Amino acid sequence: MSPIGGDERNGSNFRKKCVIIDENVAELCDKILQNLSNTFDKDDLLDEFDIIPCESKLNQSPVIHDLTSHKLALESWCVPYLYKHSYHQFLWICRKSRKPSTSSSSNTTIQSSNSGSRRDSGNIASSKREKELSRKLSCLSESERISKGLLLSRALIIINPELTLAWNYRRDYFHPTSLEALEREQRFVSLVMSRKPKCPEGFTYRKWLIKKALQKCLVEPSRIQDFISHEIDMIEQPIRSYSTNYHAWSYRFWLLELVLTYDKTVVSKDQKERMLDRELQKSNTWIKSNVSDYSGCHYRQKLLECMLNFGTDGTLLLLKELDENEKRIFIFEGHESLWHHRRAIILLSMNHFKKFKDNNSSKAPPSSEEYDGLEALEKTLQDKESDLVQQIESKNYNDTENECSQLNSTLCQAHVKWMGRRLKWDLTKSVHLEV
Amino acid sequence: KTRVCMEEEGLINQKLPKELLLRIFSYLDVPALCRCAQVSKPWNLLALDGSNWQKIDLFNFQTDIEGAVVENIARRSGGFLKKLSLRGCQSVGDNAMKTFSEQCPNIEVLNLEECKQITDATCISLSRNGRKLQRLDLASCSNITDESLKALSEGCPNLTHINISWCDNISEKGVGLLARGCPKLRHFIAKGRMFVDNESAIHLATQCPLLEVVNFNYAAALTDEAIQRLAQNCLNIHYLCISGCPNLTDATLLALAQYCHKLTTFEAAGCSQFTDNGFQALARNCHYLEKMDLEDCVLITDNTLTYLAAGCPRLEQLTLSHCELITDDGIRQLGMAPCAAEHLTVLELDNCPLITDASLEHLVSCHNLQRIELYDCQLITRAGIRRLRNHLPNISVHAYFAPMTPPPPVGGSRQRYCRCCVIL
Repeated sequence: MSPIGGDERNGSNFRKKCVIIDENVAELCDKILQNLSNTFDKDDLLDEFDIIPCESKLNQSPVIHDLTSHKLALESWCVPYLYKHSYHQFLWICRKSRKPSTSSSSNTTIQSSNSGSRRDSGNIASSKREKELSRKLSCLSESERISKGLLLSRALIIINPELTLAWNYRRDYFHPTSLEALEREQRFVSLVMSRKPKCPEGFTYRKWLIKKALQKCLVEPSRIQDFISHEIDMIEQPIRSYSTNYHAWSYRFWLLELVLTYDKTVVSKDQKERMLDRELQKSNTWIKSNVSDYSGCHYRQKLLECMLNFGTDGTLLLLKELDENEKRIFIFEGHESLWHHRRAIILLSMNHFKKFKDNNSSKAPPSSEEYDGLEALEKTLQDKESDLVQQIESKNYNDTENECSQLNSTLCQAHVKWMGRRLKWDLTKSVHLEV
Repeated sequence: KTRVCMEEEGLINQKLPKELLLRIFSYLDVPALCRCAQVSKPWNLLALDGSNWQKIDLFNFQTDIEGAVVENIARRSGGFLKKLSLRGCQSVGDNAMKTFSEQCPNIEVLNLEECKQITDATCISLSRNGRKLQRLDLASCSNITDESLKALSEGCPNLTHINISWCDNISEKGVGLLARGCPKLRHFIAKGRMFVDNESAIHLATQCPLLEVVNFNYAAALTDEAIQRLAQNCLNIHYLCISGCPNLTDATLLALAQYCHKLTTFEAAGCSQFTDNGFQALARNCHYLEKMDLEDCVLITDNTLTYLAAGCPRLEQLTLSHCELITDDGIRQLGMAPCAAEHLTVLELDNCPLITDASLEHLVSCHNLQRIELYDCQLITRAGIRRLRNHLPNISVHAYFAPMTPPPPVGGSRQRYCRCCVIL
């Protein structure tokens, strides 16, 4: 008589069978977790992870690991089971790790198992599973529990990087004692981001890691600049994988600012200048090939502002930037991000000149020459804009079929309006405004 | 209209004699006793009576336990305290343990596993006061050195169970001193001590003939000679774990076969030099074998299974993971063995690549088989497992196949209607 039946008589058998299968799931998931953690132990240099969609056909481990190329993959059939099981265990461990204020620990376990059974009321299998889980995990001592928690959080994060609980657990219980341990953790976060390059949790965790490293003095002062430059290089990968990766770019800027805040003894002025130059060049190359990456443009704007504060010659830099931008506006017609960038640069220039003027006026009355020079600069800017607008309008006038140039001209008109509102420059004469 | 409850009606201490009350309280655990002590004065006296505090387990509190708590308990229980477990209590230090040993001279069972702050001073105070100490667990107390064992050997002659797993600062000299001082030793557990213990085994062999349980897990330096001497002198050994000792050869098995006939549990995972010959001797002489762990004994073949089938009628658990030469034929022999029908409960065959569905066919007559592990046996199919489950409905088969029922939805079983049905 087969127990796999569908009729009433075999109902209880069927439910019993479900319970048995549930227990098997727990064992299976534990084994897969074990395989995962063995892989992490074996291979320190994993750099890519992905979930492969496939069904379970063979009696083969779903954890696929290629040692030579350092790639890790997980077959998709096991993910729902693995995730659910790990999550249950992880929640239990989190609850147990929370210091109970007045109630004893036995009280909290009773509460948690009660709430568990209430949630799945009527489901015999899961309340039994809850008790089984409780029994298995409560005989772990504290250090065993912490290492199990870290293992589970690692598996959960790699499948679902948005799980803040897991990241927070790692913040509480991951205590790096050496630089190697920290770097291993950084590589783990890069691994997670290889699959999901745009997870904000990953970037906040990276920030926390850097702060922790510097706070605990794990990095020698002479190597701080290298350490952070290395981190900036690691950011290249998420930036490339996902267009306009806001979190990556803001993290990049945060790292840059971190270096600049160090004084002369740790990071010399030369090193800082070199760093800024390098970033400027890289950002230029990036924008050339990714025109509508507005986060990249925003980074460049902040970078230029940094350089101005640092004391490089502002005028030349900004004018050059405007020229480059103009060229691109003509090559890549219709990209709004370029126009936004232009506006930002103009504003930056105006603020810089004003500050320059104010600074100088406080020290000594400006010579008429200098004063004129600054006024002239503003005039130059205005003239530049006027030229640009005229060129675009004439182009559009001649070539009404091209959609991109149409769009470009619309953007140009918006630009003129902005200049009128924000800077009080009236350039309406140079354009046929269509309201 | 309120009814005043007369004082004499409900008080338990007026209704029952003291002995009965104490008996009732003796069933309570530490948190419950502490709560009862706060109820009223009579309850306080009853709950904190020493006879309720003979056996205390503080594992559930772990790092919350600090020295002062242990000292208070020691003072309160005094001579009554016989069993104390401080496993995982990482904040307990030497001072507390000194007070404890002075206050509780009748201590018999003491578990200090993972009390990382304990040093030799604790063992010295224990030896001075704890003459009745029988069982001591010092696993993972990394500050313990030979001085502790020396003290224990002098002060605790009644020691029967000792656990020094993962204590890297203890050397063979310490073990030798302990063996000499505690000839009544029956359980010796020393896992994870990678560079020592060859001499230790010889010391134990010569001084402690009553040994029954010996665990040398991961003592990678062990050689045949040590186990041979151990087997020769300790004829009562029924539990032996030599997993993780790759230098051992068949000579060990031959010695065990010759002397230790009472062997019931034998763990030899990772002893990759063992061959069929050794197991032939073992099976021929040790008929009481119940649990065997032969993971990674890569040289063994189906012949070993034939010998075990013939010689060990009580075999309950057998682990053959990673034994790559095992084939269906060996499992057939096992299936026909006298142990198979009633005794065999756990069989681990993971990573044995030659196993096919035929093996599962051979195991249908094992009515008590509860668990079988088949991870990475690539020739096993779902159909084979299903057939096995048909014959043995209570078995749990562990393999990498996805479970047959889909997982229940994580968000709770809310009935979902498609949009058109809702609109309709």
